[in-house]
Amino acid sequence: MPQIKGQVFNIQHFSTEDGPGVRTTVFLQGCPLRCLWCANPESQKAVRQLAHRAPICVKCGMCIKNCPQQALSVKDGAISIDRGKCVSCGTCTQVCPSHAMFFYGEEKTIDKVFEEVIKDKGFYETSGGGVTCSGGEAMLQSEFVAELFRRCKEEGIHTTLDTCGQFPSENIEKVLPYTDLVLYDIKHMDTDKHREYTGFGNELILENLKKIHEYPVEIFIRIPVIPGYNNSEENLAATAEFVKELDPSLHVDLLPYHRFGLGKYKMLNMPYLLEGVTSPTPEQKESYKRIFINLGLDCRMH
Amino acid sequence: MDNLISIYENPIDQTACDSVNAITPRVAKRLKDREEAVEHIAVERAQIVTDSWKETDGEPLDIRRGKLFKAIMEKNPIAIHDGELIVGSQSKYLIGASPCVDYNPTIAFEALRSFEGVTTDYDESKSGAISLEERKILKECAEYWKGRSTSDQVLNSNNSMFPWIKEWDRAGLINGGKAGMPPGAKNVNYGWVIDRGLESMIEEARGLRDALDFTADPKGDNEKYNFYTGVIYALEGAVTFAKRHAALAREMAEKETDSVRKAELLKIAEVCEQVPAKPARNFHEACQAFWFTHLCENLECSFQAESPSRIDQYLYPMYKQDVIENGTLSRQDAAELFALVLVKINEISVVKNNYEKNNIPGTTLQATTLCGQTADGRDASNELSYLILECQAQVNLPQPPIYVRYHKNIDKRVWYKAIEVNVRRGDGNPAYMSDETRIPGFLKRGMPIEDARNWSALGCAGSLIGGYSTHGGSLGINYINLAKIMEFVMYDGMDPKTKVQIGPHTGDPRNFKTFEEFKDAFKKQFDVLITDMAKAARVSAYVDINSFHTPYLSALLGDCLEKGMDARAGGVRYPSFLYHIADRGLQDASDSLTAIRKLVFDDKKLTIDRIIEAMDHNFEGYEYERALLKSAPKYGNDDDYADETFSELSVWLQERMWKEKNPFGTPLWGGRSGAMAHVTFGRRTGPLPSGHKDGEPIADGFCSPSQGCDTHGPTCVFNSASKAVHVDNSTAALMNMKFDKRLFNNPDNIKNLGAMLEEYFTHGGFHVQINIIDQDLLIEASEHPEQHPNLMVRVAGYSAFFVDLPKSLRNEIISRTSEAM
Repeated sequence: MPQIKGQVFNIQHFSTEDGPGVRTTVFLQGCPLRCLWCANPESQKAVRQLAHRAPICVKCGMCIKNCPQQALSVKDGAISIDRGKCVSCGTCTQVCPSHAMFFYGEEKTIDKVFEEVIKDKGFYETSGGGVTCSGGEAMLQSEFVAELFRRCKEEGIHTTLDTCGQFPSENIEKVLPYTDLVLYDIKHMDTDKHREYTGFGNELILENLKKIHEYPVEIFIRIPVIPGYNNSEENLAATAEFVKELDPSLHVDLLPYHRFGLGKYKMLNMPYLLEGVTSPTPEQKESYKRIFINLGLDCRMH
Repeated sequence: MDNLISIYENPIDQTACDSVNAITPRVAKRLKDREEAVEHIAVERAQIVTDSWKETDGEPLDIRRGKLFKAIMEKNPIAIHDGELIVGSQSKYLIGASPCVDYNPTIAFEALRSFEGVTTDYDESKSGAISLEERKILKECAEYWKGRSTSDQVLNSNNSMFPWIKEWDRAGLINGGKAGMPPGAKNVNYGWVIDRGLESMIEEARGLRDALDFTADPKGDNEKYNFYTGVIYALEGAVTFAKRHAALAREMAEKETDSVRKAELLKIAEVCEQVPAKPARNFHEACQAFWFTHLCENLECSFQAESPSRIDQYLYPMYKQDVIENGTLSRQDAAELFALVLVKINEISVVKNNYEKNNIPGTTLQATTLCGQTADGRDASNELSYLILECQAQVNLPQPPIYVRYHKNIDKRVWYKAIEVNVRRGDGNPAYMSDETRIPGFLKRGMPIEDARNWSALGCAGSLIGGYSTHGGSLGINYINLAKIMEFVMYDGMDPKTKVQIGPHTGDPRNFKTFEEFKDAFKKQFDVLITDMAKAARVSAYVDINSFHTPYLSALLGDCLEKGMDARAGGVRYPSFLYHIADRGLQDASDSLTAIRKLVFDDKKLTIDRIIEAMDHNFEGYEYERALLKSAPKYGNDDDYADETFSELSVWLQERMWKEKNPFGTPLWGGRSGAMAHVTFGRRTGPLPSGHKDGEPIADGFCSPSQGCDTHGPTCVFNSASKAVHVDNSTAALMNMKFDKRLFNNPDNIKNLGAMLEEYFTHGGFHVQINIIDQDLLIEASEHPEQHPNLMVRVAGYSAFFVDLPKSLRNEIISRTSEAM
């Protein structure tokens, strides 16, 4: 039987913010949404993308010399990638001595990924942790996630799915039987704004949430709070109402906006569209939280 | 609740302990006085021992050392400082040690040299203040010991028998070459003093001496006679020392006008009349008995690493009696007493020689052990362990380094308390060690289980059987640099820097056809070098043993009285701990071998010739080659390709070391403790195939990955280290880790960290010290992110390394850390 493969852009050990305990997060590449505030721009396209990590570059010139497409050059003392010419052949990453030239994303077999995540089994057991699939949008690779989670469950490992909710509903039945916890993003309650900020309306997302809720699975609602985009009291209150109506026992995590993705946009020659937005202040964070707590929801600010 | 059976061995009132205020006005005053005190170099001990040695010329060694110690006890100046309840200092100064001239006068000479040209009494740029008059006295004393001292005798013997030691030292293969450090690292039976009192021990020694019949073994009995006589002098001295404090307290009480202080002074007098002569009757007396014992050890042979060992065990019976059973002492008052003990421990000062100053600056290494198991295998954690941790957090001074002994049944309340205190303090104190690895390791060496369960931490993260073994001191040939040996492999046994052929000829590596040949060359280098080194260590130890005895220490270590023999001469139950050789830099050696395996034999991207050429040029102009070597698999990422060489060599080295003998005819133990030497060894280690550049520090500890080589997070580091079979490591296997303080903004991470340590400790791990990254390091990392590839940013749903953040954001992260938690 041919191996199931996944398009993976990072396997992060000792993840402590994506589900309970000590976890390993498998980040899967490819996402239907294009959230303006996306912190993982390398995760959007479902293919590997070339990038250059300047601080560790030894400036040997091997990449430029060996590129069959002449896609690389030096501009202003830094390596410049002509993405029109680059065909992602990988020659430069192979000749680079320091891994400064590298791909975000790699196709990996299920065996290889499982072998990597099972290494920390003992840590999952003692800490009540496990394996998380995040992205990108993990549910676009539902066969892979389902098989990874199935193998984890065989080993008694806790599984967590981190999803944006925008995926074909039929994928739910493949993955949910092997899932213990779902971290489910709600970004905006107004579908037009949702479309404006992410590229899609919120209908399918909210519908998928209801479908997932029918499974005996724990759900944490996660709301990235982006000042100027979805932090209005009106929107947060509407979100809280929606959650309460669906299930008042659901736990809500508020994830404050941060700009840690900025460097990656630069490395990928992608424009950063939220220039000028700043992270919420502690007072603002507190007031956001209060909206949910006042409705009786269990809410935590990350 | 009363009829519920607790899942824990001992009761702990967490709320009461969490809410104590250890920093009472009295403690605050003691902290302030300590903070403001000038650190002196005292000369009285040097003067007393010099006079005593002159007077006892010609007498047997044990008796001379007994009289010498008694003289210190009778004559060393004493003082009781403002507000003190626990009394006793090293000298007339609040902080001031006297160099141990009788063991090694070089320390005094080096200290004096640093004051050359200083015409005032105190120079702020120097570590210790010493007046012009004191300098004269110290110089005279040191001159007297020149040639007579133990270290001189060891050095003379080494110079005549093993002239190569100096060359090896110069090359950076071994440390020292000038014998050196007085036997610190002691771990006596404090509990004997508290429970029995010294008078009963004096009686025991007299009884044993009286029973000698000089029939079957007249020579042996004569030696025992001298030993017992020395012990009796020493213990009588220790009792006198306490009585002098009692008399001083009474004298001060008479003059005291403040009635509260007057009562306190009378109380001090009462306590010092009772202990250490007689058993302690309450927690206050137990604390004072501990302190006198600790201080006397230091005065017998003043150096570093007097280790209070299992303090939550021997102080617990009196704590339990006063606080838990009778309620005669509140937790608040117990906390104040213990805080005063902590301040005292921090008043201990050490005059170090230059080598020590460079390698372990600013620490006295008074390792203190908490938790662990009782002799019958029950959890030994108790409320005092918990309260001590809280006091340690509040007093917040560097000493003592606390080691929490983890085991599967440890009271989780104490375990998480330890991690909480670690995060609060941030400085890797407390650190953690595991029974699950240590006890099987000791059993494997044939110790009975009751003794194995009584182990404690010592000095620089070492471990031994507290009360029944001790460390004999450094002979100047205790460390061997494996990174240097790797250099020898690349240059056929020659040190490329000094051009001296030190190692054996293992062949020109350009001719090696397989990776195995490299490993074999490494093993052969070590095999030949360790044979000579162990022989020199045995001879040095023998000379050392025959010139320096410690009767006070011996009286408090089992089984010296039974055997009638000085501790350092083999009187202790487990003499194997006295002398060991520690190997450093295995990470560098193993990463070098792995890089060769990967780039030369597997990927064929480099030739050996090219690597040597790059090494010859310290990689200058060879950045491409160095980048390749640096990005080869490295130990510490749970990558078997790199870890298998590390584990194979780790086990092989230990086994090889065991084939050597120590001076007592038992196997020589390889020590993997000690934070020492990675900087000084690194300075003399040239370029390596791992990418190490000339003079850079070698890897720190035993199983911490080389600087910046672990890029996959702490679980992978633990997994890599677990493969190195720690049960076989003789005394310790150091692992130092760093965590970002912001991680603990999520309180779940205290538990997650605890859980990770538990997993590591139950799968072969032995030691972990966790430093919470401070501002300076983050700033450094922001300036040079490429050198900190292991720093990660952990944010929900986000993936990136610190190095990928633009500078502005790195700075933002730094400023956030400074927010109080």
